[in-house]
Amino acid sequence: MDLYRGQYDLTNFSTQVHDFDPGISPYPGGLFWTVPIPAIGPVELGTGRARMRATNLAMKDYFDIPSALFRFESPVSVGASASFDIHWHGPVSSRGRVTTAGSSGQLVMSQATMTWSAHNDFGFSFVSNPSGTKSAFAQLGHVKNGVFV
Amino acid sequence: MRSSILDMSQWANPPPVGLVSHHVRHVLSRRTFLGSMAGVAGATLGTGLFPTNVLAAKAPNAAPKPTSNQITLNGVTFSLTFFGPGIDPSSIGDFNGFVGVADVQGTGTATNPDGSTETLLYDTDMRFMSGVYVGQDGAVHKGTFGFV
Repeated sequence: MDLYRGQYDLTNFSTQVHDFDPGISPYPGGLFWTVPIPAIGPVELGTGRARMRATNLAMKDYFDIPSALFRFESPVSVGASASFDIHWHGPVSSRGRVTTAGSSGQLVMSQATMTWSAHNDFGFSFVSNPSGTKSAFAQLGHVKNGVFV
Repeated sequence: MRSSILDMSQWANPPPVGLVSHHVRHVLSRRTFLGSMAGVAGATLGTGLFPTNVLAAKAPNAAPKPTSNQITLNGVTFSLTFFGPGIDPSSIGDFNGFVGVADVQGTGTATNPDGSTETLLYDTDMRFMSGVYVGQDGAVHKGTFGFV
């Protein structure tokens, strides 16, 4: 979950001021920004509906993506916590098969909205505005990879 | 679909010079781990027979294994996946279940340590994986994970 001041710079991250993620464990080749979360509600591939939420999930604030990847800032990160609630609500705009080598399954394109909040140990906090969100990319699916293919 | 070129020489806070290869230009952005696979190294995953040594392994816990999809940036290799049409977005390997991806943008109110407030823009790459997986202990488990 990334925060930018003034405008997005998704190429050089020059305007990014916060990057909340759970880290890479073990660094650098381990689980990437992936942690256990509470069970999600029903995933309805027919209608493109699902919900993912978590409360007070332990995170870190790496401040920007380059620092999160290469850990060259000091301090590298500070402790943080985040809560979020994401709704995939459809409609399904397209369907297709997984084409990734070594994986199989089906994917559907949907729409999503999200509210979230976070704070770090430096005393910074953020609360998202529930209105005016843009679903840049939303997808649901059922996949198999590795030994399950 | 957009993709960003990771030109580390232009970052506001670039990594130390010794870490930067100016010949390395990879596609990467939290916002846009999208379809382009340019720059991905070793993006393969074994298929076929269940490897018996997986079952025999005695890893310490039931945590999932990272995806075997790897990308090398600036000499550092990460286990991560893109998302996009047709792309398995799972960040864990040996997985069978439901997935979701939400790249949502918006605004919100930030409160700084000095008490001042400001409006900031946000961009997210949020995913879930819910199903069964072969853990690092070699056993099959059921679980739900978020890529946050």
